[in-house]
Amino acid sequence: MSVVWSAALAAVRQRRLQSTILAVVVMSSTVAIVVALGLLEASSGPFDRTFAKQHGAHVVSTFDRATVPDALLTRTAGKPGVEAAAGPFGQTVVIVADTRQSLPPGPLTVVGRPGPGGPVDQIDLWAGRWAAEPGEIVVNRPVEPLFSDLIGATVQTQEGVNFTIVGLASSVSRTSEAWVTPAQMQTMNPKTTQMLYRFTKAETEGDLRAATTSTTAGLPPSGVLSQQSYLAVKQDVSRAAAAYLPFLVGFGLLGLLVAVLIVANVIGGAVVAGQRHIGVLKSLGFTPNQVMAVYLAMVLLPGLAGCLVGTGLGALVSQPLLQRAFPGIGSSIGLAVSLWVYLAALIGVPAVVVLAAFIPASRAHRLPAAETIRAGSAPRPGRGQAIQGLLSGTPLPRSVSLGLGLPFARPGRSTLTLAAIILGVAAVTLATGLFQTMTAYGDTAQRVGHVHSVVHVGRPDQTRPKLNDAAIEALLRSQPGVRYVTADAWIDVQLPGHTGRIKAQFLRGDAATRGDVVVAGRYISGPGEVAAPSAFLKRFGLRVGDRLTLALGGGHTQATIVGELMDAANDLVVASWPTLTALDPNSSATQYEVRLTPGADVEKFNAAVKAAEPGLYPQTKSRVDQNSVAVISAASVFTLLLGTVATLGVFNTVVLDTSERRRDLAMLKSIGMTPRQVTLMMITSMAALGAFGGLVGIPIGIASHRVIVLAMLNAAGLTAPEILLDVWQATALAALAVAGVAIAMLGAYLPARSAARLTIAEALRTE
Amino acid sequence: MALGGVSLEIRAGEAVAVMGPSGCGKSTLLNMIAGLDRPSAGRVIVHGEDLTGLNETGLALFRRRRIGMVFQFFNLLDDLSALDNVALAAQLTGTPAAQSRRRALELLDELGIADRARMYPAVLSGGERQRVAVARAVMNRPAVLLADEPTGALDSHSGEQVMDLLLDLHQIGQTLLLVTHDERLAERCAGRVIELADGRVTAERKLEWAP
Repeated sequence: MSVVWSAALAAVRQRRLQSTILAVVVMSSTVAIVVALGLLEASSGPFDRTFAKQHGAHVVSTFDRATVPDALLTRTAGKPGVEAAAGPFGQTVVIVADTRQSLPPGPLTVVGRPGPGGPVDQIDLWAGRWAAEPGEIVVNRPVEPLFSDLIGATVQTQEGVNFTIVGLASSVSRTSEAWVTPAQMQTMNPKTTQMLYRFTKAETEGDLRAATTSTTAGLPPSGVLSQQSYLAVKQDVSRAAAAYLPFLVGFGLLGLLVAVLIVANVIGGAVVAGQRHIGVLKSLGFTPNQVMAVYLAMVLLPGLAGCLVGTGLGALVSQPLLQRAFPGIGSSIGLAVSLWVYLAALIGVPAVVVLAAFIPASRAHRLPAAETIRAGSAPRPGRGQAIQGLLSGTPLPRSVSLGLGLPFARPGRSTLTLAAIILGVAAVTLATGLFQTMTAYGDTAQRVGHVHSVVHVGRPDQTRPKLNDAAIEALLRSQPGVRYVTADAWIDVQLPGHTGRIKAQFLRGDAATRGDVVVAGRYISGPGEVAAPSAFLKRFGLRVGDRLTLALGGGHTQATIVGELMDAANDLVVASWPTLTALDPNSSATQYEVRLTPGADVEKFNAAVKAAEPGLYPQTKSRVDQNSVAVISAASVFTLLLGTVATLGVFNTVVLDTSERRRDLAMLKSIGMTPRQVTLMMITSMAALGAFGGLVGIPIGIASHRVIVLAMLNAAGLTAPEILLDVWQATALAALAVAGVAIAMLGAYLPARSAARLTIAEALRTE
Repeated sequence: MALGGVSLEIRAGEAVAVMGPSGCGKSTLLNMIAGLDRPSAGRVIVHGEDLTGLNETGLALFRRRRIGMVFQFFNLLDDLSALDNVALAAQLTGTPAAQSRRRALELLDELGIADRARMYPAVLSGGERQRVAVARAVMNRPAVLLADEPTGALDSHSGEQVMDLLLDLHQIGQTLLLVTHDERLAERCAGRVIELADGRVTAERKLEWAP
């Protein structure tokens, strides 16, 4: 074993407390870094990874079968710029009948494909098998075990063709909603044909436009019906994940900053505290470089240990967070933190540790041996003397005024500690704001306080109600404790001129009481009126006051958008019941939302409804919004980590101060300072930093909250109502102001108590 | 065992020097009397107060009321001026800052270093630092002034000045217990010398020319 290594090991053993603090700080910081990077990566990773794995289609083109024959389309595969192509596949739309047995009623795009594989769009067939016989169908569903019971279910269509679901598959390119065999498709008289392309150059929309223009050149222009770009699909798929990005970036940056500050502080302190040791080593014949190597190794050993444990813990913590933050997204490929995140932590964190140690170690490297040996024994020109002089004349208790002056004696260390406290308080403030915002959002999404019970009508496979729609509503209204009842019908409709389906929620009864938040315009109140979420309006380029056409089956009706709702759905409109009557006079409600009077028992109401009509299925309304839970969970983990790291930073500072001031503390005790006064002095020294940190950290936290929430809402396609931004109350702000002091006092308490118990004679003897 | 069976009585206004070779227990004796060290066995009774029964807070209050201490290496706070170092002792007892500083300045004036009151320890000479330490020790008018090798870290000139200072204090009635190797200091300031060896009192002599 080399002499440097032996000396470093001995130094680590000798400084058990410092080494432990260093290891714990590095560990906590590493966990924060792994979680932050893991979540950052995951927020954009799943689509790209799934797209790469499935060899996704850069462009899904739809052609008019009557105008463009298959032979022409087959030849497009060989055109310049086309990397790979699949098709032509016959494509048609069927209308699923309202049997409530398997798929929701409404239009369903079906493509005829021989199998899930091929050069483009290698579909993930995650349950069952591919369609092999006529009458078999594979349905596009995200990987979610709840969908598994669709296998074997029958799909009835209004065209009279019935299918049995034999497989569940997931296509990230969204090439179709369902697939049948090509032979089956031929019998369905497809009017359109699908081609799937991968291009050699497909980074931007411009690239894709150029490539599709080149590929379809020579085809009858009227035959090209639509071109769906993977970038548009990606934007839509990533919308939920992108909403998390600003929050993750904010916390990730805070985590990194606090970690670097504290690591620098801990290591700088360790090296400064060990100056005499450096002098002894030099006097023994260690060269300056060997001394520096000893010191770097001394901090690197606990740093590496902390980094290794932190990386492991980070992996454990980030996994459930990822699953919670991104339910259903990318689960077919497994949501896992990438290797590069672990490598970045394992290489980057020790590098930061060494870098932080390098500056003070190189200072020790330059110091003459005699000077380093003398360090601490000779009187040094005091720092912060003017401040101490001023404080000495104040009427404050002397232990308090001495404590207030202590941070000025080590301005560099105090600045780093203060910065960590500021960031810690900012993180707590940000997390508190996010908690309030997400709770407000979750309460709105779940209609907390507005809807207490949702009564579902029994599906065909369940007991069906004997009462009709109107009688059910009357029954519910007659129950004791019922205040409001809103009857809902969820129906898939089409917007002529736009592809895909949208959900329409038609409301009857006390709709205005169900807690929809209107951010612009007003709520629906009459026939032909709809309200739509901001994300829906953005998606379709609509505004309040615009008119739109809702189509169902063969019928259609015009409606005016009278209000913009706070809701993240981009495929939903809320409409009045007469609007549904215009489309389908025979429709009936599928569920009833019930609000009870204050103090009424929801469970008792549910039991009474069930007893009165067994064909009804009442459920207590959930108070938990999964999106809110995901953000709150992640914010809590980050806050806990950053708070711990900031507290450890303070702990370390007080340990160093106590260690350096052993002689001063002993002298103060020798002239009559009581243990309580010593504790008070040491805690005051940090509480002052904490109070200042609170004052500075809170505005930073509030500003970060506003920026992050606005960015999150923008990414989610939501217009920001004030209830999500103006979440600050005087009591909460007062509590936050205490957060900095709490972090400081928590970190300072143990070393301050230890200082109070210092044995005076022993401390003075060491001089 | 650093000390065993040591019993000594110091009358109010008396000056006693404890002498002996290194490691004989002189400083331990002083620390026990000041309540800085606790005996592993036996009792320490000072001014009728049994220190062995006091907790840390009780000992701190005892030191405030009864004891002033002067150390070989001064033990001043580098961050405080000479004036504030002296005033500190009174301020810890709750004496208002202005009153404490006024009294501290008077003391420094009496010790001849009022002009150095605003200076910090780092720029004071050894003798000046020890004068400041003495001023701090007598700030609360202690029953006993304990001095542990008060001239041990000083050159001869500064040592002489400190000796004069201690003598002056004794002459105005300050009870003094000195621990020293310095025969001259003992002879000059003390009326009685107690010799220690291996933790036990081996001799006690009264000085004829005692002040």
